[in-house]
This record gives sequence, C-alpha cells and structure tokens, in this order.
Amino acid sequence: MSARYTTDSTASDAALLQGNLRTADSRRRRLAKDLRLLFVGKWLNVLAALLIFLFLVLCAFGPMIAPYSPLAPDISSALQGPSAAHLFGTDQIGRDTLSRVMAGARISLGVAAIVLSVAVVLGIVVGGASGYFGGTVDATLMRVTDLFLAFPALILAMAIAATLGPSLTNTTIALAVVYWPWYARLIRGQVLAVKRWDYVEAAHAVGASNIRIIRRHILPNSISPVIVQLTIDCGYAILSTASLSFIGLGAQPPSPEWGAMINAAQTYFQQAWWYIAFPGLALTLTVIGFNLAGDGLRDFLDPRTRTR
Amino acid sequence: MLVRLIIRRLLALTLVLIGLSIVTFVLSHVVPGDPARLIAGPRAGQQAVENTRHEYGLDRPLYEQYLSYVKGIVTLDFGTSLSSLRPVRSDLGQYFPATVELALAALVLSLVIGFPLGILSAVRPNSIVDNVSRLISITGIATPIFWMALLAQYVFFVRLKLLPDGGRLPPGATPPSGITGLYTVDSLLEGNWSLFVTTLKYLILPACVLAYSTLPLITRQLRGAMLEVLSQDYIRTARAKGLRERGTILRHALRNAMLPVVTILGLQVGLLFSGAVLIEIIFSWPGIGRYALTGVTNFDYNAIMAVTLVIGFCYVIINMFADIAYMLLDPRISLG
Repeated sequence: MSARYTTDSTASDAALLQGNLRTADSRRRRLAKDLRLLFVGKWLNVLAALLIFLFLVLCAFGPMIAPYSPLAPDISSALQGPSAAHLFGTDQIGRDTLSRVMAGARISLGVAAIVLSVAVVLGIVVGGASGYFGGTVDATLMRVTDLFLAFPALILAMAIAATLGPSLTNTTIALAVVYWPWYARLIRGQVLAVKRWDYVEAAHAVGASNIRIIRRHILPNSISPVIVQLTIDCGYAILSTASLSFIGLGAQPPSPEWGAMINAAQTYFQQAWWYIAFPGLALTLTVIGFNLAGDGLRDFLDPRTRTR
Repeated sequence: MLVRLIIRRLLALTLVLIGLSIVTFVLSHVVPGDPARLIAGPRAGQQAVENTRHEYGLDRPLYEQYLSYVKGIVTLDFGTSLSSLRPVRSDLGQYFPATVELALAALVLSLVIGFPLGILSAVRPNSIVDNVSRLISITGIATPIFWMALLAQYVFFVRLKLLPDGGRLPPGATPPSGITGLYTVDSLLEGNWSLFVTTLKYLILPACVLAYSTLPLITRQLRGAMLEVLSQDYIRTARAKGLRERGTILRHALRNAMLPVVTILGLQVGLLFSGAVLIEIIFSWPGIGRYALTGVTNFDYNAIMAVTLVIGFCYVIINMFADIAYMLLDPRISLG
C-alpha cells in the first residue's frame, strides 16, 4: 500500500519537476481516470450518483419545476388518488403531493448542510486539539464528548428539541449538538494515527517542509474518512430531521418537509395510501443514495481498495 | 488483569452516569430560560411563577439544585408527570415493561434471522442469498422506521385484515397477572395458551418492523467478520485435514466471527430504543416512547427527562456488559 502511494507521489513530483504542474490536459486525464474508477462496472455507484443528482436537481429547481404550488390549497380536489393531473395524488386540502415532495428536498438539504457544517467545524477544532495536544487536553475534551455519546443520538436530539420547543431551527440545533461528538472522535483518531505513520517520518527525513507534509501526506490521508462519513451522514441527518418532524418536533405544518408530511398523512392513511407513500419513498431513496455514495467513496478514496 | 479491566470499566461507568445526570439537568434547569414559568404554565401570573420558583427550589444556586436533582434520581423520584398527574416513577413502572417486551422481541427476531443470513452470505459471497441480504440491509438502513410501520399497518390491517392495528391486547381484555410485565412471557407462565396467541398477534407486527431496522447491523457485521476469518490459515488447515465444511464454518469460523458482533450490541440497543419511540406511537404500544411523546405535546418535561435518563442508563449499562462480555470471550485477553 505504501509502495503504491510512493509511486503515485513520485510520479506527480516528476511532473512538478518538468514544470507542467496540473496542466488542463493532465487534469482532464486525471478526471477521466477517476470517473472510470468510480463508475465503470460499479452499478451501485452509478445508482448512488443518479439518486443524489436527482435529489440535488430537486433542491435547486424543485419549487420552479413543480407543477403546482406546494402550499396553496384547492379544496375541490382534496384526497385524490394518483392521476395524470396529480401524479402523486393530493392531500386533505387538495395540495399536489408531487409538488410538495419536490419542494421538501430543499428543506431537508438545508438542515443537513447546517448540521454537518457545524459538526465538522466543531469536530476539527475539538478533535484536532485533542489529537494534537494529547494529555490533559485530550482527556478533558474526550470526557465532554462522552457526555453526548452516552445517549442514543435520536433520543438525545428529541430531548433537546423538546426542551427548546418544536421548530425546524431548534431541531437543527439539536441535531448539530448530537452529531459533532462523532466528528471530534473521528478526527482525533485520524490525527493520532497519521501523526505516527512511517511515511510522515520519512518525508521529514528527506527534508520535506512541514507545509508540504501536511498538505501532501497528512491531510489527504486523514480527510477521506471524514468525507465518507459526511456523505453517509447527509442521508442520516435528513432521516433524523424527518423523524423529529414526524413526532411533531421539527418542521411544522404547512411545511412540505417529508417527515412533517408523513405526520400529517397519518390521519388519512386508511383512505389515501399515496399521501404517505411518496414522501416516504423520497426519503428512503435519498438516504439510500447518500449511503451507497459513502460506500463507493470509501472504496475509491482508500488506496488499499482502490482498483486501477 | 481481567478483574482490573472490569474495575476500570466500572469506574468509567460512574463517570458516564454522572455525565448523564449533568446533561438532563442542564436540559431541564438551564436551557429553558425560566423553568419556573415552564412548570407554572403559560397562563400563570407573576406571583404564581414566583411561588413555583420557591416551591421547586429554583431560586437556589445551581450546584444546590443539581445536588437535589441527583438525590431525586438516586431515589428514583422524577417528580410528577404534568400529563398524568401521577408520580413519573409509577408511570415508568407501568410503561417500561411494554417497551422492553417490544425491544426484546425485535432483538430476538433480528438475531434469529440475521445470523443465518450473515453466515450464508459470507460462505457464498455474491450468491442470491448474499444479494438478497444486501438488499435487505440497504433498505433496512435507509427506510424511515415510522414510514415502514405505517405501510405495514396499511398492508396487514387495512388491506389484509390479518393483524390488529395496535395496542398490546384487544380493548377490554384482562392482561396476564404475571410478574415480568411481558405479556407473552406472563401468559405462558400462567399456561393460558389462547391469551399467549393473542398477545403474539399484537406484538408481531411492531416487533418485525423494529427488527427490520436492526437486522442490517447484524448481517453486515457478521458477514464482514466471517469473510475475514474464512480467509485465515487455520480454516484452510481445518479443511485440509478433512473436516466437514459444516463443522469448519460453525465450529471454527463462527466462533471467532461472533466476537465483533458482541461489540455492536450496544449500537443495536440504541437503535432499538430510538426505533421503539417512533413505532410505539404508530402502533399505540403503551411503552415509555409513547409516554415521552405524549409528554412532548403536553410540555411534560419531567416525563421526557425521566424517559431520556432511563434510556441513557440502559444504553450505558448494556454497552458496559457488551464490553465485559468481549473481554471474557476474547482469548487474547488473559484471565490471569
């Protein structure tokens, strides 16, 4: 594994010597190679990319391409089954379920993005300090993370959101509070592990500068698990938001957030299956997409499983 | 050596338990700006709020409040539930067994299905069994459990009319008067076969939905561990000396592959409790999850914090047992 790494870095060092550092051509060739590694013969990765692409399109253009307004009621067409006019049917006040599902993607992504940004920034600060300084700092900071990890995540988020009061903002805060300790732990472990590796020592020995070691050797090797985790957690954060909204703590009606929609649909589930089915399906496919993408990225970023 | 490890684990446990109490204390006493106003209710006048503040000792310094809070927890005094107007302790006593029964049933189901599935998919990677188990895992992880519960109810209650829509027993039925509080076990202890069948009918759907969410953890973990073990030299030796494949897999490989599965037991318990909270409302299952959620709508913070604390406590304790079990099972940790 380390031999393969060296070959890779020698090759790029040679390129650096020749002075054609990252020309447009080499960049394109590299991208083509990466795409081949990611997608050729790996249909689960293709599926993941398609699901995430669809989700992102909904986030960007959902409200614009939706056939109806996600919020405007139309009592005359309440609780209609799927039809040409309403592909996903309508809800109890005649809103188009398809348009609401499309509008919901943006809310979910917004919450996930905020939660994970906070988690990563706190995780890097706390985990980095913990791993770098060690000793008392490490012990103290890790005891703090223990406090948060002593509860099942969803239960703690529920207690926090319940204390702060039901709203999407408070749910975002609650989720950020329960997600960051995992990142602190992960990043601490990475810093500790990478710091000790022989090739870092070797790089020091051949006179590489600290900045080059951090940029070329430590960062690329400690950041990939974080990227993988972020990808997977994007799905889980969306799922947690929906769970909290479902029990009435997160997004409040008339928000088209998927969990809140399923909550509202509960009352009508005996006569209107579509009202429950489609928001849940959107949720499931999104989580599957991010989950598969995380797995695919893990294999791609890990030099040991990276097949050439 | 082992004893010292266990003692160290117990010391760490007390630290974590103190941590649990700090978190719920901060949530109930510090975060909500003015807890006295919260307890007195939104319609209470200023004087009533002041009276409440004094009555509940909320005008004392924080550390004093924390000490009396911990004293309450240790004596299992969680205050009065604002929704049932009974002590939270007796509410918990009534609802906790239902959650335990649901979680245990789901755990048993996911072990019974997960073990064969995990072993078979490791023995024949990329076979039909492996792919089916992969599909179950991916969907089991990604499907929102509350959505799954509603769909299951729609299919088995609304459409097929096979199973009841919720609850633990039909309305008006007398529950078994056993000691465990688990209706299935108690009805068997009483020898009441028809009651056992009835309780099972009510239990099976929520338990299956809950098991579906924990199953992936077991099959994936076991499959990974089995694959690793099966590629090792002693397995080749066992095969080379002519041991039957069945014996090789069950006696040689599985034994070692089971170790990592023990460590994820803690994670499982977390999933079981989180899932139970969501499932209990849908199936009107009278457990602590439904109790806590009724608390959410009624602003019954005593109930919510007590449930959070109880679940956190179980989670921590079971994780500790999983750790100790791992130490006992792992032959590399000497018993000297």
